[in-house]
Amino acid sequence: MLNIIYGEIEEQNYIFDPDTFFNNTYEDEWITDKLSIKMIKDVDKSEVIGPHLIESPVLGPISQKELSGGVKTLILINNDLNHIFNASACGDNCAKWLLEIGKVKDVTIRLGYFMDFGDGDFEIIVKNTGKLVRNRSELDAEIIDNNLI
Amino acid sequence: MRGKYSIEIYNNKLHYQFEVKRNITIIQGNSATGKTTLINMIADYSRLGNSSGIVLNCDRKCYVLPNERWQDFIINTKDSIIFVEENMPFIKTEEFAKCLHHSDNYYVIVYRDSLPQLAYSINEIYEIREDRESQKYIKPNLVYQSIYNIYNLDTPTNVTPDVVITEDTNSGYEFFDELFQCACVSSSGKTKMHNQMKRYANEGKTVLGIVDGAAFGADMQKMMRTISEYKNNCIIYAPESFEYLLLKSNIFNVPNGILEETYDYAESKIYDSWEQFFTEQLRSISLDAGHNYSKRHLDRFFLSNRCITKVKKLMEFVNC
Repeated sequence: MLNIIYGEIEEQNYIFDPDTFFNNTYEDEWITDKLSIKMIKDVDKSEVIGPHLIESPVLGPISQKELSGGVKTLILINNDLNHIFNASACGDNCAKWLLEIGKVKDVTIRLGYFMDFGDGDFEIIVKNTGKLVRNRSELDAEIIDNNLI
Repeated sequence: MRGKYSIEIYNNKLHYQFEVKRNITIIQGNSATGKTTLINMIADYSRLGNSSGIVLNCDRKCYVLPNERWQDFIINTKDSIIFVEENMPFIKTEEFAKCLHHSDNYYVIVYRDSLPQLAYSINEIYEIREDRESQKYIKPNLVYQSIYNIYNLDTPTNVTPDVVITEDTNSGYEFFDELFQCACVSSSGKTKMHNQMKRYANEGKTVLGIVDGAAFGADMQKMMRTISEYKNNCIIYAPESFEYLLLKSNIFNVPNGILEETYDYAESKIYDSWEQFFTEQLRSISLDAGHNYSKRHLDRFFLSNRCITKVKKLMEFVNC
């Protein structure tokens, strides 16, 4: 299940800057994981050649540290369940992958903006209120009515 | 600092070109669009100049705000464009807002969360996208990037509101209350606009919300989500400010540049937003014409038929 804490949080295990955290904590197998390969392809339009080499259509061969902040955050959320990551580092194009991760794992993230989770149905628990929301309209109402951001 | 500045920066793979023209420019948008790469290129050029291999063309110095001693950096930097990356932990603090208050620099802030402590315009919130038109006629091996407005508010057409909600409490509200035949309500501040609009839309009413676009940037995400819920009966109208409307309406003789090239007049050191600039201009120009303009209470002159009719002309999309 995807759990989202909206607004400011002060949990000890909260990571405000996932980009830097990723650079200092990633494991090689996180990069070559099947889901990571798909996310890197979709968000960064880049191909994973190996754990230490990515082929970017714009920048050419790059290291894993040069992946986008959004995809680094997605990889962290999928692999490091001990921390709460700041998903404001992810743009709207990461939303579908957050939902994918939430289908198979119990993850909690923090968001400070209205990420667009699309027009379809989904399941997200808004941790601030404990409410399960099933579409964008319900999610928006929960955030706006409770003044979460 | 005042003026409009073109920034062109490129290396052998990426080319960015865009303009900044107000105190604060916000860059948001999808992941992997090149925001961090842009910041890194600015930082590399700022550190090494031409020997970085990067070309930067801009009439002002460009810097990236450092994480350490950032307050000193701001205080000691003048007439420059300062880029602020999203991983700076102080962006949302009051201290950062205080440092930007009356600053002699422009700021380009990469940040997706809203920043309510800063007064920024809905017209200066951008995303980076590939500029495919440029691709056709310059170097084919370069990827050309530019910035595009996230909020393109089309001017509404043929609106017949049941309720008009203004963010202004005093003068703006008094004026629109006189202008509109229908009910006019003040939301008592911009942060309450969306709730008020939602309330009346839920009653099945057609709601026209009037906000000061020049300083409504931080509330725009929430407002757009509210509007999208009530597509057919929630309309937002966001001129720069109420005072801008009065200046634009030809009630007074206003030098054209003030309205069309505001960036050349609105000094960032004096005005945090163009809303403040237009307020001061209206106060000063109306005083010269023998009238007092105050935000707190509207002089009877502005409620005269002549003034109302002139502003109505600017708002022809509304059936008042």
